[in-house]
Amino acid sequence: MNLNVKFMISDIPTVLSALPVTLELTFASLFFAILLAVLFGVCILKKIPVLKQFVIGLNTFIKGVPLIVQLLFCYYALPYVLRAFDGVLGYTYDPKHPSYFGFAVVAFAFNYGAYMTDVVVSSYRAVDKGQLEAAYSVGMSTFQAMWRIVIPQAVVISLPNLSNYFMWLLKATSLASVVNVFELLATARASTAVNYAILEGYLVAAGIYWAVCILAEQILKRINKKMNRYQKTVSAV
Amino acid sequence: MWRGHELFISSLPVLVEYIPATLFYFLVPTVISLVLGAWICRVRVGKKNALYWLVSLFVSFFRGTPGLVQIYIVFFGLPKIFEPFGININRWDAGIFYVIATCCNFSSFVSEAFRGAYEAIDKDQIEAGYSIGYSRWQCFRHVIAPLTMQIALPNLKNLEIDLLKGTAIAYVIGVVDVMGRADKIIAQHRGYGQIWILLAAAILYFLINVVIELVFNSLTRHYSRHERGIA
Amino acid sequence: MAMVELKNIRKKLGGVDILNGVDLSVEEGEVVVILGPSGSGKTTLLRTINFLAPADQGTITIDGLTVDSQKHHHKETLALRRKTGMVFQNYNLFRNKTVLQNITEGLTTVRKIPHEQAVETAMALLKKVNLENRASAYPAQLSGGQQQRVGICRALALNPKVILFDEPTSALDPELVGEVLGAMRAVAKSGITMIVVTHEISFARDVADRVIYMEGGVIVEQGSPKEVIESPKDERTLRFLRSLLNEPMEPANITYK
Repeated sequence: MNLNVKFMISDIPTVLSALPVTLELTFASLFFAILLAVLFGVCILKKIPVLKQFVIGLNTFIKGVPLIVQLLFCYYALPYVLRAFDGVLGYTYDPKHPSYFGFAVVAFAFNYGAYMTDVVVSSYRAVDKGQLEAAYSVGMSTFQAMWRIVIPQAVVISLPNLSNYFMWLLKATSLASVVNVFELLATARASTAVNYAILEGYLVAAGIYWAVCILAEQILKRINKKMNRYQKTVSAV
Repeated sequence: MWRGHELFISSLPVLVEYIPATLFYFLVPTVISLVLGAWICRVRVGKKNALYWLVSLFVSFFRGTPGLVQIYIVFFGLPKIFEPFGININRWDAGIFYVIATCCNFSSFVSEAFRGAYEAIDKDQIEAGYSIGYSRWQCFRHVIAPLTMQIALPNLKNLEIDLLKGTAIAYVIGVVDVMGRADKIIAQHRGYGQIWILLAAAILYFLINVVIELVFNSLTRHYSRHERGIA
Repeated sequence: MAMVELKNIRKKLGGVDILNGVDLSVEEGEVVVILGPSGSGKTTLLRTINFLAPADQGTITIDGLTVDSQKHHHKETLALRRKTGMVFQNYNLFRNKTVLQNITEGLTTVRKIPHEQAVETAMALLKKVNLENRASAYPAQLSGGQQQRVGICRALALNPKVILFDEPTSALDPELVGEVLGAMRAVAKSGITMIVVTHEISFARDVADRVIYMEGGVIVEQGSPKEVIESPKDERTLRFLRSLLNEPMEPANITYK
């Protein structure tokens, strides 16, 4: 098998230059996904009528539809939404430069938000009810009890699952290449346009993803260990 | 936007025709990966010899890289492996490449699910099996396998649902399933109504997933039937 | 005036009457022990006092503050809770805080006491139970007995008018029970009002001022430890004590209803 190894090596820095975009995409999506998950989680935990059923229905649908379909949907639908906001609060819609990155973030945020809602809900429920009672028994208000005792523990319980979803999200960003976002995979493909060494380009991309995933896994393992030093691990879900 | 609704309704029957194709790309990797995954798991819980490290590398690669990249690598790379032997496989249906890539990917995840489940089995159960005289094969058949399935089922359910949703990616290398057909329809209506076509595809995928969930729920009930306490 | 006064406490749980009209009056400095079989409502009664499990009916009065179970404001409940301390069967120490922080948490967060003062108070209490060298450990690193002693310190730190003990030794390994009972005896000696739900008859006999026997959601009989434990007046009390002390039941003493 004749592989253009020389090209592969020279291609590495080119592809690597798109790694920040992939990481930005991952972290931005994660941030908004968590935001949505907490919002949805509160609706479910507080049993808010109508909202709770709506959230559960929405999440069930999102979890049952392929991510690529959701990405394409946002890619086609969001421009219409943005156009509707043209002129509102000084925002001008520029049809020539749509924010493909932003559209992808919206899709990822809702998709992963749906899964993370389950993590939020189950982590909260996994905190021993006695902790809340003890907080009340020393006279803490509900806010104090939640903020100082229950939520910190729920966050630690959610970490293993959160780490898992981070890794999934990191790999899923490669799908954004289908909707015009110039992240790692798209850049790798583009770099082979000159010499048709398509396979070599993808191999370089694979190698970089692999390395990043292994690194991320090690870092997350360390963080998990550190956060769990004071707890016998209680696992949610 | 009533033309949009029209598009939605007219695309549905066209897409429904391709559900069997989607199911094909779901069932074939499922069957192959369950067997391959079980074998990989067996290697990974056994002795740490050369095979163990080779297989572990395989699993690490297919779990540590995105599925889309793997599909492209198999699609462009497999022909190159056969080139020096003078065999041209470029005319193979794109679906075959998809199935090969997906089997490698999926069996890696399945093997991890099995491995986690196997390690979670209460070792007392296995000891009890040997103590009543089970041979290694009998112990596997009557104790280890059913318990592994019971523990792994929730994870397997999620993996299978991901597998089904993953089939939607296959269209990028030219596979024609539900998403592949939807992509063609979108191309025909360039610049209009894409969201309605996508919505039609989305609903079909959702319904197939509902069926899969129901199947797994009954499987879970079957494998946990001994856990039900006194009503 | 009594320190704690409960009037006509009633509560249903899942359709079942757990508390069927309980009246209780506890004087300042009194140590009251409540005995009873499981399902008698004794733990539930304790939890209605600090509104962890509010009663359906009845009033709770602690140190002059009366709160009605049926119409109570969150502020009233908080005020009531700040007059009480509780020691739990499962210790319920804050898992994400150190031993020291567990005790200072209520002081700094709830009472707004400055940090240094809170630490002083906490360390003094830890010294009394011989755990000052474990101040920076986390609960998961302590034995059950140690955790419970910290739990007692946490309750004491807030200077409550009454401390509620919910089966404080039931979750402990037998060899650790003694150290916790010892701490409880010291608390009793210091003159704080205590209401204790427990199975430890020895504690009831030696430390309690009054012993109460509950069954079926009502108080069956109450009196001094000598009265209730050694010569109970009621059939049910006798039967319960016998089962607890593992004495063989004499057929003549049991009337089948």
